[in-house]
Amino acid sequence: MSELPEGKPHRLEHEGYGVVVVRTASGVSAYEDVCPHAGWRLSDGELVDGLLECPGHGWQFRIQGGRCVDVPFYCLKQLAVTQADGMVRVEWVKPGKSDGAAAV
Amino acid sequence: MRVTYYGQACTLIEGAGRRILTDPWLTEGAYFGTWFHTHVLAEAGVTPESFPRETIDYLFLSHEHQDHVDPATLRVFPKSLPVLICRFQGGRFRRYLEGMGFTDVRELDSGRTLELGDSLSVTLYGSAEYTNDSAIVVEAEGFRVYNETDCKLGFEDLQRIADKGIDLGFYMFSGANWYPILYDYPREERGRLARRRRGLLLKSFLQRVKLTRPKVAVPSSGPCMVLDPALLWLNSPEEGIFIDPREAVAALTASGSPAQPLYMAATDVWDSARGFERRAPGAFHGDRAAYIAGASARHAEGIAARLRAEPPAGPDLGRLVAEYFDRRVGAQSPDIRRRIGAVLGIEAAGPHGGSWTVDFNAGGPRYVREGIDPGWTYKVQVEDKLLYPFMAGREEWLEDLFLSLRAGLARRPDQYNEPLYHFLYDPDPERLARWYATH
Repeated sequence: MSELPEGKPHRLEHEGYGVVVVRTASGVSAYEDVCPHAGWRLSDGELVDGLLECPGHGWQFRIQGGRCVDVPFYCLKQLAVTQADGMVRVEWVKPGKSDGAAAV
Repeated sequence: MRVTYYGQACTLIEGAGRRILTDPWLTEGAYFGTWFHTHVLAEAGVTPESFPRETIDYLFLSHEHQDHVDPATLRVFPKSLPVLICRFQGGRFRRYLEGMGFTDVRELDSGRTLELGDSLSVTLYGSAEYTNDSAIVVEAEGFRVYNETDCKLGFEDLQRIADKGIDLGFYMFSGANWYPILYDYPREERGRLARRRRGLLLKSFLQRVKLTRPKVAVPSSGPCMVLDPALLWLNSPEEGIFIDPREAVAALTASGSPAQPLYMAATDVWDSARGFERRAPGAFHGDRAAYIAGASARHAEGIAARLRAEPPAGPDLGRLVAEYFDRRVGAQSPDIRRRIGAVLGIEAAGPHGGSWTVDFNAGGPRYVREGIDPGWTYKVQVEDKLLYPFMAGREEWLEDLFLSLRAGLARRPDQYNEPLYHFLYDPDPERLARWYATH
């Protein structure tokens, strides 16, 4: 947990897939690291006014829930996060599968 | 290899003894008189008639927007000229070009490389968005030129382009649509949104350069100038979305990018052996605001005459609006109509104007009714003479009405309705259904 910077998107990789993890004062959220617009890595973006901003074209997403502010039709795929003993555990559910996890 | 820039997305790429011309827009006053080049091309001696079109071997046309596909320019090119386009769903763009008389339109699948012999090849890449758009990489003589036009490519395509090793890249960096400038925000709020938009556009420009890693990066595909004295405010850095190319050059320099930023004005040249050759008139390298002020004064009377000469709307506008939308809305599946879910108000001012509501939530078969429904969610205000040619089928692409920047828009709530935009852009029911089956 202490290695996860606050206020800065962080990328994890698991089985070739990317996860963007965002730590804020209110907790930790994790999403697939793919912008639904043009596939950019959200982990290369930044937090702007409390929103996760895609580096590609500036679409912004709510940290809580992943809903796109600019085009509310879109929502990021959220991954479950648990915290215990100073560890953050992200439950990675590969499409069609139910196992796998990445931790930081 | 040699590349001459002709403003917007127009580049003449010469290599391996052949010449490829991209997106030739060589007139002024696109979109009903509103859009001029960053600098007036004729002041550099460039017109469709004077352009050496007989020396061109291939045309690349990225998409149908008038600043990329200009019927008045294309009219002078031989219709047997091979025209390279990206394969878009539905084929409407190809049919549009064939309707202009082109007999050799070659559709390439996105990402596929076409070998043209003698080490010359082109690869086209299609947009990640619903709308038609595409970019091109030309390889010849061991050099690679990338012109993204104003196409938003997917992340993975940009990575593939980087892997090619781009020597010279042309990148969009300026705004080129109607948000937020046509919306009914209070002036201060509209300015704040416009400045935010400019910031995002520059950020995106830097990111795309970073990802594609060209040796030399040229800000291109804009900005247009709006010279109608009544609309001059659209050029303002405080209120508009059109960015001075030198702002992009400065931003790229400040970012520490290894790419060399290069400002090219229309008719400037990049040569793989000699580098940059400044060919543009001196005024094209001067102050943008001063140039616009002078150009507006020079062209104001011509613009006014053009506006006066626009054909009036016909008295059957109301009937045409009903037919246009009833047919297109009715052709959609209930699921697509539900996704759009808009109550679209249209107010047309003029001798044959009127007001109508297009209700995507209606039961059908009639979706259009007279008057503006108080529950409207999106509203368009436009002159009747601008709306009429689209409803009458004389103009093909309804989006051009918005790009004319001669409309007023409002939305409630203040949110982008992407399915509505897609419908207005291309209401092909099969295309919409396919898109929303995967998005």
